[in-house]
Amino acid sequence: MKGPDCEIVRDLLPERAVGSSPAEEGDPVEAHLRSCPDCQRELFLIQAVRSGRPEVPPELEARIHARIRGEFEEAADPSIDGVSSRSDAAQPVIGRRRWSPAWVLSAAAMVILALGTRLIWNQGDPEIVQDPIVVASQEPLPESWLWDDGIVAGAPVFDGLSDEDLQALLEELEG
Amino acid sequence: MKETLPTKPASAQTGQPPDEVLVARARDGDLEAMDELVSRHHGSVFRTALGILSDEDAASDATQETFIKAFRGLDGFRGDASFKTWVLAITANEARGVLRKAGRRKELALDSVAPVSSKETPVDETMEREEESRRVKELLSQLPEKQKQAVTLRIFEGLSFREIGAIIGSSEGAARVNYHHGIRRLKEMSG
Repeated sequence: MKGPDCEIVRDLLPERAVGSSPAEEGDPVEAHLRSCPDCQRELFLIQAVRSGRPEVPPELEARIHARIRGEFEEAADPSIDGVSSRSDAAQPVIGRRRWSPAWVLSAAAMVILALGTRLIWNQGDPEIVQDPIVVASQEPLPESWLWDDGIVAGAPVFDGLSDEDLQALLEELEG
Repeated sequence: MKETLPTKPASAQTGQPPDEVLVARARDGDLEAMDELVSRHHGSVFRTALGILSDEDAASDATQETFIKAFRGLDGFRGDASFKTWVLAITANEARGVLRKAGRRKELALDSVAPVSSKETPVDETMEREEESRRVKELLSQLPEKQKQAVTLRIFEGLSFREIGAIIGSSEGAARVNYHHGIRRLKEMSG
């Protein structure tokens, strides 16, 4: 029986080189290799290439696990604060904005500075401290605001009206 | 018969759940399933990224990004190919993207990476093989990009030509041609 040709054998050599298709008694590929120096040489070459397979950095797997925890654990449970569940090895999260402590402190300092500046500024100019709305609410209503029918612009003043005046007012309003 | 059979998944030998089961669980947010998929495939992802980026740190970063993108995009994984093929295709895209952003394209520099140690080989033979390995790595770095990828994916990862084609963006036939041309060139260069 004719054995496999070189083209078929060479397709199979990588598996042979890593031992995933080990030689067996009567194996046609093994028989071909014994009789074909070219294919034998190619097998040695593949074994040499294979022996230069790069090693994976030992800490890489743990870093990926930590990154995945940081990325997907929070997504699965939004109640987690986002800090305690992440290990030190985790990298910054993609696609989600986080406020770093430095930024928060800077923002707080800016607010305090602005408030302090305004306070100091206003101490030299009392007119500006007084909020016009507050002032208006604290002052008595001027007499000149009263209309003839006892209605103050924007606010009813019914306390001083007699029952007859109130009745007349209601009738007037009802038309 | 021209196509070679992919190597049998380790899960089939150890009784662990196959990738498809883990993918379904990962889709539901199961972190342990994600961890197991990472454990199984991070080596292949790293080597594929390294083959394109030629820099160990950049390849490590690309490996992390690849898994994050893969798990975010699991809904887009239809299962036409294996999870490994799918994630290696993401790896190749990620690594090429890094190169594009950096505006450079380096050749494979395997010299910066320690080789796999041969624990069961006698000392003399080990030295001889290490010398041969160094020489072959140098030659490998001189191959055109697609030939280099086809050779490393076939020999380092044991992928089929159909899987290699899906990763490097070519047909199965083109992947086989790239592999055999790469091997032939390595033989010629090694004398």
